[in-house]
Amino acid sequence: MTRTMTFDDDVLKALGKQESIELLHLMVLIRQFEQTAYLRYLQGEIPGTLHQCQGQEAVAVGVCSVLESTDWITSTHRPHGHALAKGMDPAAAMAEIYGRETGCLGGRGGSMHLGDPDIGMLPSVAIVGGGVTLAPGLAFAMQTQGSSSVVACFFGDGAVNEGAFHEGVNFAAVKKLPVIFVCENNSYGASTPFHETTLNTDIASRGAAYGIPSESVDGMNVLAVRTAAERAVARARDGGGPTLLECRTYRYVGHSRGDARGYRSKDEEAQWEERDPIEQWKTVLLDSGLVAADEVDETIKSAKAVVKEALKGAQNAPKAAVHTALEPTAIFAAPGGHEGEPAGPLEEDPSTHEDDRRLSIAEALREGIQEEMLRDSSVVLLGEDVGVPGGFGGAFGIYLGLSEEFGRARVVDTPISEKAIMGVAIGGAIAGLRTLPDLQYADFIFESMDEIVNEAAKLRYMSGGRISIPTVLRSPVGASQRGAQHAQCPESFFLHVPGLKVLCISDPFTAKGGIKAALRDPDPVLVFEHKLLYGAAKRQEAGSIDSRAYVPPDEYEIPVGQARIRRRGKDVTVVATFTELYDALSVADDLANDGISVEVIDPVWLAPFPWETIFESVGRTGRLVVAHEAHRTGGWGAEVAARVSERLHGRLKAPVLRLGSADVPMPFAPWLEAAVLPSRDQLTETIRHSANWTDHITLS
Amino acid sequence: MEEILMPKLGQTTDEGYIEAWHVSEGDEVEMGQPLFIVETDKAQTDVESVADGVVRKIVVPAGETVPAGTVIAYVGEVDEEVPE
Ligand SMILES: Cc1ncc(C[n+]2csc(CCOP(=O)(O)OP(=O)(O)O)c2C)c(N)n1
Ligand SMILES: [Mg+2]
Repeated sequence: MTRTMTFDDDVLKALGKQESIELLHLMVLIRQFEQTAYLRYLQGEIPGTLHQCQGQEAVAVGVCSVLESTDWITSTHRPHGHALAKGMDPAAAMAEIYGRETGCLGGRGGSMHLGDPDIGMLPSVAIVGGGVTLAPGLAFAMQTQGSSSVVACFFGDGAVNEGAFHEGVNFAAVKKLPVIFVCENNSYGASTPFHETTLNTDIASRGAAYGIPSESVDGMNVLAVRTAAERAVARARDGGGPTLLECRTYRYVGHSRGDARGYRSKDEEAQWEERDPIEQWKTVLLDSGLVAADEVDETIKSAKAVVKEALKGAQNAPKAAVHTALEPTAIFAAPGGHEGEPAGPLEEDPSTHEDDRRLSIAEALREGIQEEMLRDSSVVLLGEDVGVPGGFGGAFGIYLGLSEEFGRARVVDTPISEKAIMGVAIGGAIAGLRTLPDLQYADFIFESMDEIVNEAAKLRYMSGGRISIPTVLRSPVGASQRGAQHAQCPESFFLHVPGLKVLCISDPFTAKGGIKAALRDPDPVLVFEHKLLYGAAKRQEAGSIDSRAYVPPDEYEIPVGQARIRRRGKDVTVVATFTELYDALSVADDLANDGISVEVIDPVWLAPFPWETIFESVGRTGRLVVAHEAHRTGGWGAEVAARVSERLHGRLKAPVLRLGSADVPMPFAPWLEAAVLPSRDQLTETIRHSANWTDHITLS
Repeated sequence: MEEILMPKLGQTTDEGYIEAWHVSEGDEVEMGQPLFIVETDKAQTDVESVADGVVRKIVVPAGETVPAGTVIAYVGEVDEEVPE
């Protein structure tokens, strides 16, 4: 063995005997845990795959040794070492990778997602770089709550070439968030050498790009890691912001099980193994005289005994019960949709002197948000251009005045970093805030798709139902003469993602009651609003529809999952949102003159979808038309058509008909745009077809 | 007592040929110590002991091919009873 480790006698003395032994104990524990899991995996006892960290123990142990139990860590697809170093019970960790009931996540997470909120460890994120936008969120909550806790964010060398790294580190830097970014540089991302993936292999140097301190550390030297982490943690606790630590280390084993390591030489492996972190630390302790040989032996023996027990526990524990996979509360903290009566048509102005209560959607949203921010100091709004003095107050002026009222610590202007905005919103929500992230146009939601789909929607489930994520994403949809990238209605995408709630706001009453319900809900809610319906004083778009309506000054909510029947009718049910809803209401007036009685339903919540309301209505009318601006193919109307057909097949007097935008990107020129959008005439014709259905009608 | 099983060594193979034993009955072994060499149509690998202990019984001798999951040997304490 080569001892590359240098150590300062004073540092070692200051560390003390107890702590020195503890470092050894944890490194041996991790090594033994990994070796045991490896052998048991080969024997077919463990399902799936394993990503292991033999050789990298000093990084996890060095960093976590300077963290408190109230500090948090985020980890990766290779999390076993981090979990054990942060204090996870080895029995709970082993049981989890065996898929057992006693696992830290009840078998819903597994090897790649080890975590436990009670020890300050987020379920590990197996999306490379994924944790780098979440960690600043946890830290943002700590900063907002005035605590002195910090977050250590572990990731590999591979992650530094992800966009998430750039957005997450920059966000943490500019907000001076208490994060220690710990890069475990083991020279490979799976089989690819790091130097083949970038011209700047000096990861520590990247700190300069964000104006933060950084260090490169010998990751095989537990004391060096610990000392560097100590400096970084102290800086973070003091409000000095994040640090980037690059720890140079090596995984002795393959990337995952079944990797024969053909991409690296035996020679290279031997050189690193010569610098084994456990052997080096043992030698340091013995040579310094701090710890006696029999104490070292005893430490190793006891660590191995702990793993032996953990293994036995996992082997004997019952398998996670099958019903736990499907439990509604595993997915949502508040799973129940509203099963009761749907809301009726909008109220007329109750009296003339309340005329000032005719609000636009923009005003109603602002009122709802303002009331919730006043009521609950944990509500924090974040986005681009939301609070800058003299700025926009959000892209559509929804937030004008809020930063003056609540301060810029609760109306937080962000870099143009949609992944970071969403990651911070999610992390912040997990750590105790109610976050209200804003994206200027719904088209930009694709920038943060990973955070929404892989993190917001899944972390509760992966955590075994132990965390909840109260975050409300607002974003405007709809074509408004801006071409293909400022026009989309992406709400249908999210119906395909279990773990998200989806709210579509089409009128001012729903705006206030809906946003309040969303902000009080414990689960992630995506809120979509249509640009042409806002009625914002500041921005009148061509083609805007005046949607002003009476909004009560009182407290009220549109419960999650409650639809609104906007007009009663008996011949055809029309389910529509946004501008199509207004078309449907006015077409219904026209058709009434022709003797066709149309019932118009605004589903309001696309997830959970108000199925009972739709089934009840179509059960009466026997006819259904679904109209939305979202593209027809794969739009949410397709799901409605399928479900209604399944449920009401024998009672339908006509096939379910759908109207949506043509399946082409949205063009700019108003006359071209109109050719792609569903038109009022098409809607009229579609409803007529439904009402007068004969098999001679052929649809396009 | 630990059962040492014939591992499933590839996506395409469900059996393995025991080429040679590194240890004999009665030998003391450590966790991770190679016990025998197994050969499939694709590769040749050592199968390692899952625990510290003594090789109490070799069930399948060298030169035989058996399906994955077959018990090949038992490793345990000196005084543990060996299953039939
Ligand atoms: C976004 C994403 N891309 C690709 C993968 C597949 N993948 C899993 S781990 C890995 C290599 C990661 O390398 P690194 O970040 O250096 O971590 P290490 O495995 O070396 O610990 C890859 C490509 C993934 N999980 N997520
Ligand atoms: Mg790597």
